[in-house]
Amino acid sequence: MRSSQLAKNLIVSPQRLFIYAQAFRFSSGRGQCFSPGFSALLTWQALRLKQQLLNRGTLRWWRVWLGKG
Amino acid sequence: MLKMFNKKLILRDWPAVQAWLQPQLQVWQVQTVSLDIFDTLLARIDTPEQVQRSVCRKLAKYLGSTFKVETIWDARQASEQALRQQAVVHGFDYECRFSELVPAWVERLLGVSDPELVNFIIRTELDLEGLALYVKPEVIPFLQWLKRTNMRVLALSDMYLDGHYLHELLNKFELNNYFDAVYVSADALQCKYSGRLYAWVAREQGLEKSTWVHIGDNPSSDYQAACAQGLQGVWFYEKAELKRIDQQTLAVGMATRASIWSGRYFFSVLQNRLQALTTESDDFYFRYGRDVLGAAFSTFMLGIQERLQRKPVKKVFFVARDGYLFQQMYQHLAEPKPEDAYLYLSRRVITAASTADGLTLEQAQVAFYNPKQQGLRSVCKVYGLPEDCLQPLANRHGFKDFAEPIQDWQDPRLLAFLADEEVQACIRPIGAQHRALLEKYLEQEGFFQHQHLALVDIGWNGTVQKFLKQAFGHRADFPIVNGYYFAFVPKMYTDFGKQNYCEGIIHDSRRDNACERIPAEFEEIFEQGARALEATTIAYQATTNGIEPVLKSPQASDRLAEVACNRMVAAIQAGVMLHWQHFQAVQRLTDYKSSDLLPYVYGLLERAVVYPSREETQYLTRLVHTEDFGHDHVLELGCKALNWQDFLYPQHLWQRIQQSAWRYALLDSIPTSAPNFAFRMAYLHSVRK
Repeated sequence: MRSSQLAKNLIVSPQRLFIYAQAFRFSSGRGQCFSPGFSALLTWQALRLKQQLLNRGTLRWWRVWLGKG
Repeated sequence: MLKMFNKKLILRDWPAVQAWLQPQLQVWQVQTVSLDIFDTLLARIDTPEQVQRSVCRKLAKYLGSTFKVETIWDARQASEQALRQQAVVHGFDYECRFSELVPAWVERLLGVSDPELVNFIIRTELDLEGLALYVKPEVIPFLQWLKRTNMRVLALSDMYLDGHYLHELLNKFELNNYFDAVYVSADALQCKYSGRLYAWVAREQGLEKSTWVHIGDNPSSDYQAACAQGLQGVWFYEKAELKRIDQQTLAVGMATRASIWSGRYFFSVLQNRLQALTTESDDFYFRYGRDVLGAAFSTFMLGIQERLQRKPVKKVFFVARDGYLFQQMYQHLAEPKPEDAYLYLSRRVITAASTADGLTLEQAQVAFYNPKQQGLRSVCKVYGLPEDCLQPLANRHGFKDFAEPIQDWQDPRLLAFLADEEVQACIRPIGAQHRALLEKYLEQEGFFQHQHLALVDIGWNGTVQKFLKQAFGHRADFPIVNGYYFAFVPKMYTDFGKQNYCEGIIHDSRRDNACERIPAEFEEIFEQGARALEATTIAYQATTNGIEPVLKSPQASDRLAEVACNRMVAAIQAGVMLHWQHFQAVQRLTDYKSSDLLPYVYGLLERAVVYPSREETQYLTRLVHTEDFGHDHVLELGCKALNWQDFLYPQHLWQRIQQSAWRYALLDSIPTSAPNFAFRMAYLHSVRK
């Protein structure tokens, strides 16, 4: 069975990185190199939301169940 | 005849498939089971398109940048489409064969056929497919069970790879023996989705369709097309796997943007690989090495690899002790690469040798960087000088207490002491003795045999490189040295001499990027994670086997503390090595450079150092840190967490923060990251430079 918790510290969410990077913005104002970028972050959120709402897996399941192919 | 024929059969995992099949097999209602291969038996850590793009990048490199990667990709798409359309025209399904696709692709690209290039592409793609695929965890027990039932077991795939290439892949994953036959759409240009592959297999094998069950992940080709042909299709519906594929697709899409996205995609592929191919460990230190330090150290090693390709050297020396882990990682790199060696050096033996021409003020000041410095006693310890000889001379210049800390680095007593010829006469012969032994050791290790070499160490000031040049730079055979450091912060010295280059790969303070300074915020953890388990080198001795390093006594108090931590360090390093192994595989797939990964790695380290979890502070503060500058001091990484009373005495609070090796761990008792954020901002303000 896959363990989704394995190596979880390897992945930091973009929202967190965005918040962490604000410490630089509000202090030295330099070196925001690990900020994902506001517009990229919004795009990512929107695509994720779209994925969750239009869950391909669930849609496929219904299509098979309804015999639509 | 199967009772449940052509019913909606949706099964979610292999135990469920087994539970459904078992009763049918017992009464021989099912006599043949066929299985889809890709995404059913084998899963992917990366999408097929990314694998094919990687082949294109490697092909572009092979062709010496004659073609752009995008041109090569377009040529492949065009060739594939032409072959597929040709198959349709000839009355087959929309399919092509890899063995025909590659020669057509090469011919479209170069205008001539090139069998050698065709072979290179085929080998590369199969190799990368092998890296991107893995056997799903519950598949093997299921296939073993199926084999024991004596059913006829077939593998059926809609795939552009020819049968013999698919056999190669299945062999690699040790799956071939579970199947009586493997059928692939590329061979007959007949696919599952049209139902023609099922019909062909039924004819070839003489199968009774009513006793045949096919299982696969595609609802159209594995379920509906199979049912339409009169056999029982089973849709293998793994919701979590579909979700993972969706997330992977999103990560690929975002990776085209700059900043952290490419690094995040890279490490998500790496995480997939780790989840698929390894098991979780209970050891915190192993996990920390694998998930945190592994990312930083592996990116560093990738940076070194790139620099060695750009500026070739004859030999790479890894400097004791923190170069130990890097040498282990280097030895896992594929050939060709320069030969490597481990040098038993320490700041102690290097600085001792540097006093052969006397002790300068700049050299003496090096001893005062230690927060626990004891004035002239520290100078003696750092440079290996005899206290009994120098103490009476120090008295003469007004030093009543030889161990009195010297805060004023231009102290007139110190200046007079160093200007005293008697002091220098006492220092020089000892320095000369140290230097002679060090020189012989370096000759023995081949340091002067090559014109151009690289030194690899964790950092920070480049003391070893600086003093090597200072002590032996006069020799005609002194090599051009490229020093590569995990983090380079030249606070102590600025002039490293001619042809003596230094570069910090993860952090270089000369780049003046506040964001990459994160390793310097908790340098002890990086040093601990990379160090050798043996003691530091304090001198050399001539033996019958040549010059050998003398290591610090196992009875020294700091060494005892170090030995107590060795188990934890070994676990961290085992985690780092596991990460490195998978890092290299993912790097081959993605072709990312260290610069693509660095923004994300800085973010990852920012999380680990500034916003540690309670578990991290609890375990990491158990480590102790020692230095190789002659003292027996031990630096405890853990400090008592701050409480509200500390905030009543701001001066005392500031002092505690300044003295702490890991200042963010002081906030451990506060159950939110908000104070860490505020503290980080305040700290960045205070160290603005």
